[in-house]
Amino acid sequence: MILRRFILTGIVAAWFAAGSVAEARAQSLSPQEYENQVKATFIYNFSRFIEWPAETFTRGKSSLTICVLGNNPFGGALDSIEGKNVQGRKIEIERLAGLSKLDACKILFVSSSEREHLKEILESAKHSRILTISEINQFTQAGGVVALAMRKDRIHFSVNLDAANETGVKISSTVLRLATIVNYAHQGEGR
Amino acid sequence: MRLRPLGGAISLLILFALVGTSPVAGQTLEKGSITGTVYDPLGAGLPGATIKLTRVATGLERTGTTDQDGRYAFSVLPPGEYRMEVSARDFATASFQEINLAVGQELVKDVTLIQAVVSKQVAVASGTEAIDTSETYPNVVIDEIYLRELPISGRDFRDFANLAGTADTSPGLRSPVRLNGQEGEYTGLMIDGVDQRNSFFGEWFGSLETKNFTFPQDAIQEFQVRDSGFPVEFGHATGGLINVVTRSGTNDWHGSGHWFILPDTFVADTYIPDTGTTVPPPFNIRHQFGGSVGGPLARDKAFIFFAVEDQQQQGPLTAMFGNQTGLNSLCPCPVPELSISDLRDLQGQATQRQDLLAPFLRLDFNLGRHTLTTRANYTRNKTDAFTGFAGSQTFVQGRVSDNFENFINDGYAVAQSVTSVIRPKSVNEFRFSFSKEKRPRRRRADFTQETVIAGVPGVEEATGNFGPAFFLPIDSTHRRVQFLDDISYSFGKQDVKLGIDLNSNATSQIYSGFAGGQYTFRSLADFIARRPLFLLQLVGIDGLTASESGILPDFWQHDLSFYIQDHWKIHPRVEVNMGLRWDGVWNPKSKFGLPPGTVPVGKPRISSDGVEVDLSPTTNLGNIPNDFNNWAPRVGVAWDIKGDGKTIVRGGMGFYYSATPTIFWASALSGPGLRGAVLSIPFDPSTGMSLLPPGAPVLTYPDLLPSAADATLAALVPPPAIEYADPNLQSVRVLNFQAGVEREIVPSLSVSATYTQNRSENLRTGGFFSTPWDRNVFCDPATIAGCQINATSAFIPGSQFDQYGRTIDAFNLPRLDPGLGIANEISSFGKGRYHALLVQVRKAFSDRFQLGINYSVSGNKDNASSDRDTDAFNGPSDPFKFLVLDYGRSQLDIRSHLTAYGYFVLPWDLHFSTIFTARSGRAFPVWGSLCSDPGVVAPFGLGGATGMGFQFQDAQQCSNNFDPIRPVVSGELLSRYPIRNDGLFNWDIRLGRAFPLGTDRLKLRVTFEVFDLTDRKNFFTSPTAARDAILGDPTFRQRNQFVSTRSAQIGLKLDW
Repeated sequence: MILRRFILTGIVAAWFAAGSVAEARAQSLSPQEYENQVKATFIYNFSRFIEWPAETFTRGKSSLTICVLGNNPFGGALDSIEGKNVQGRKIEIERLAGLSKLDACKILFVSSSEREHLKEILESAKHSRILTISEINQFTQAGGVVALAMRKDRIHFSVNLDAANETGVKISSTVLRLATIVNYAHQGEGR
Repeated sequence: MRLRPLGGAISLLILFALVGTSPVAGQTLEKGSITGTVYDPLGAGLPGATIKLTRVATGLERTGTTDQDGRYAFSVLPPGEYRMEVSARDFATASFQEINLAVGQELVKDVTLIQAVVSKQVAVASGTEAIDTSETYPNVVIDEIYLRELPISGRDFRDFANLAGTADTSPGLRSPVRLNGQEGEYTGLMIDGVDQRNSFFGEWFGSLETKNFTFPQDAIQEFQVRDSGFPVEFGHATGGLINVVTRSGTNDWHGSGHWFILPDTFVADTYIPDTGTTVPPPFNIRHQFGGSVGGPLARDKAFIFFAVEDQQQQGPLTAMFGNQTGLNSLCPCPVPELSISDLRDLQGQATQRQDLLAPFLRLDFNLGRHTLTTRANYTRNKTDAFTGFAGSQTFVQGRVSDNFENFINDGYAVAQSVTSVIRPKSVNEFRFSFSKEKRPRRRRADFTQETVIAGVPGVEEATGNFGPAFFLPIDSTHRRVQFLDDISYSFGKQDVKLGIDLNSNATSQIYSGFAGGQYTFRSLADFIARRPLFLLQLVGIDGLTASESGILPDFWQHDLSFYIQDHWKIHPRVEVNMGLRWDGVWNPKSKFGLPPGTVPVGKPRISSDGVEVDLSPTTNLGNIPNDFNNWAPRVGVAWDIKGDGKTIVRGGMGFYYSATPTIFWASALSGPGLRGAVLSIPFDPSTGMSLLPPGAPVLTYPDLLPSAADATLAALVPPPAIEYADPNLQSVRVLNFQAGVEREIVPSLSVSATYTQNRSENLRTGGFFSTPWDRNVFCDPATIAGCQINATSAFIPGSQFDQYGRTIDAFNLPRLDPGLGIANEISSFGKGRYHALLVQVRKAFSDRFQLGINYSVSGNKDNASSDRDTDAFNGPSDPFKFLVLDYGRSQLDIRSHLTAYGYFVLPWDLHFSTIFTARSGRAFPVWGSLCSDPGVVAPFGLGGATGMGFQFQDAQQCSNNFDPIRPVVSGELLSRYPIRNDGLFNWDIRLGRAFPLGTDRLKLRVTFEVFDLTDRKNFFTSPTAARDAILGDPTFRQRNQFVSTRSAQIGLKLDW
């Protein structure tokens, strides 16, 4: 009996030990995977500084849904922010093939694969009060809210305040001071 | 009194070394730096992040924290692979692997951290950046892979410097590689941060006159070739810079052994097109073997690395008299006086040997905040049957093998450096080095007299020299001491560095040319009859023997420099590197002075009234003037246009200085005309006996005069020929401007285009054997009408120069000071301009494929004296015949230059590498001859120098003995270098494979290399006899020396 308990305890201890070793071991990433991780983390952080209109959230639903439209450029990086809490809401990740389920999204990441349909996507997002983010070149000039770029291992982003106002979201000045501001009237770099 | 600044400077240097508290930074000499900014995921700078940097091989650790803007900086880092760990509160610790820092690199590594709630800890392999965004001028890095894999014949790593776009050198020349259109003696060579040149010859330490390795190739970690645009911490160079770092031991024991063999069966015979001659391969056999071992003495604390390279090489030297038909018709020619049974026996093949040895030892210690490195190396080059004159040749006509020399060039160098981290952002580095080398040059014959058989035109007779060359023996000893200290400090967006550099070198030499006597005969028939034309012999005066008169005791040259530089990230996309350097040069003082007299100094002023020169008594000219006016401001800019690191615009401008090699002072410092004199003794052509005044000895061949001149001989001593330095002499100065753009075309592949221009000033005019500039031939104010003279200057009538500026019958002109013979002034008013467009393609380093292409198109003009002992060694002695040199194409001019090199891993793990070189021909000097008049007076070196008035008997004899003049063709004076040699084309390849021997740790690499794959031969047409360059002569442009032929080499290397 003692022996059996000893063995069981050993197995449990080994299990936990193995788990803790795995936890402590660094996640090994390629430069591209790390960049994806940084971008995903940017979206997570950015969402912490956004205030959506109260009516945006359906009563009783506590999640904040981040949608990815088109080819997923993040690999598995978005998984790392799924389930995290932002402003008391859990992040959910939805991967969309089309615009039919757009209403559920609070943040829409528009993949570069959707460049051809950008106008249509932005029009739909504006009506649905969705904050749009993309890496597509000239995204904010086209009416998107946040354009994202990774240059020399640093995140650079621009914000179209007019487009943000049209969706009704408010972006904290804390994050705006890090951004290049773009609006319809003056579509140039203003940092 | 004049030494006080030096004493004060030494005190300051010691203060620097001992205290070292002031700021400075950036990359240092043989080191590099890593700087950057740590950001949070929104792109904001993250203050207080901790960065730990670890050099993988040795465990060397440096830590630091980011400032309020998230910036960090690590300066003075040894090149190699690093691991960087970045941590901050609430963020996941990120560990970046495989950060490769190259020598001289200023690596920018920005980092974005991820919150710990997202990820606990990440390890990231670093990507390879194609473009260095902080570098203000593109350069060529020969990394570990290139050093290991590229084909190389001779295993002298410095050959790879020729891969740079503006590099120019021809194997066999004694000049080091030339960069950016400047002479090779002004190319910098820094090994582990200390200067590794010989300041006397302006050549590379251990490679005097020959091409040979002085370091084991395995001891070199990597090096950088910078054509131009280097920051102020680098001095003593106006052309480019070769910046080398040696290998240290690591935490793992590694070793290697190798054997490369090149047998004559792998070497093509060489056919010399213009002569129709086939000569044997230059090698009978060459073995090169050596190895290395390195590892930890104490893990992470102390390391040792040892390497050695040895060469055993022998090859045939074919040497014969000119005109074999004539020789055989008159010989056998016994010379019992010199124990020679037949002159013909002196001909044929001799064995040329070049045996080399180069051991190397390095110790490294990580002592907390201090890193200590000690390095020692030895080099020995034992060469037999060295032919001299533009490197060693394997086929010579006109000299036989006892006319050549044997020498041993050996030297050692020790270097010590201490790098101390004073504060996380402040580092002090102190270096000291001492080197010494000597080269005894010895005769090969058992007797001392050299015999010259000049030859008569139209008579089929042999010509040539036998017996020891007149300049042998020579003993030279050179020492060099260097102290360098710099302190770097990083603050805000700036890395500031303050440094001091003291460089002292000493030379002693025994050179007593003609001490053994040199007999000249008109023809072989005259030689057989023992009817000499004349004897040249050095005799000591003032109680000295000839040998004693040639002793030049130690003379020192000191070069002290201070510099301050700032690398400033002035904008997120713009980096500026600016600095100021001051160099002071204390030149040597004469121990013997000059004979009394008055000579012209400085640059002649030419006007319609004639030519005016300043005069000075020789008593003011004994010393070489110091030079303290060398201020070198430099600025370079790198602009990352879009901030994405893909397109960089670069530009820069600055002054560069380099002191003159001290060989040019040797004659001036040796008491010319005061201790010895070369007598020219004429002989009676009918009796073969000397024509000397009564009371003097009567000589017959091969008799010699007494070594010390007695009273009778003293009466024969001609007016002294002197050398002296212009009181306004300055160090060479180059103003460099460059601008260019580099663009990443695809990931890790970049293309750059750079325009560079050099404006050179204070280039040397006059000096040394090849370019004497006689200032004592203009006029005698007492006898020449129209020659005006006053207390300080003299007008020289234009009638003594022809319409092309050439002096007319220079040797018949009365001397300005009849008490002096030739007065050779060494001055510095030459100028030059070089401009080039440089295009580079670089494939960044990877394990399977890397590639570099460098192309330049350039133009180069000057009016300076020819480089010493290069392809223009026998070029037109312009300063001798011209009042002022005309400005035109330089001997350094190379129109186009292309190098391409790469390394590829093929299927079946075959390693293929290649070097391809194509280059325009070098500019080529041309002479006309004054020798149409048989009564012409002999020039310098054959009686003219001594004032004895020897006259040539005929044109052939004259042209055989150097009487060049710049030709006039179709009423136009030809420029100094009017013709180009054939272009150079060379293609080397190497194929290899590594075979594991039981374990992955033990590998045998087998390589097969082919050099000059297309057997292009690459003759270069520099003349070794005067007639070869004389327009209209049948031998004009004779291809007399080849620099390569197809050959193959097998290599075995064991790595563990």
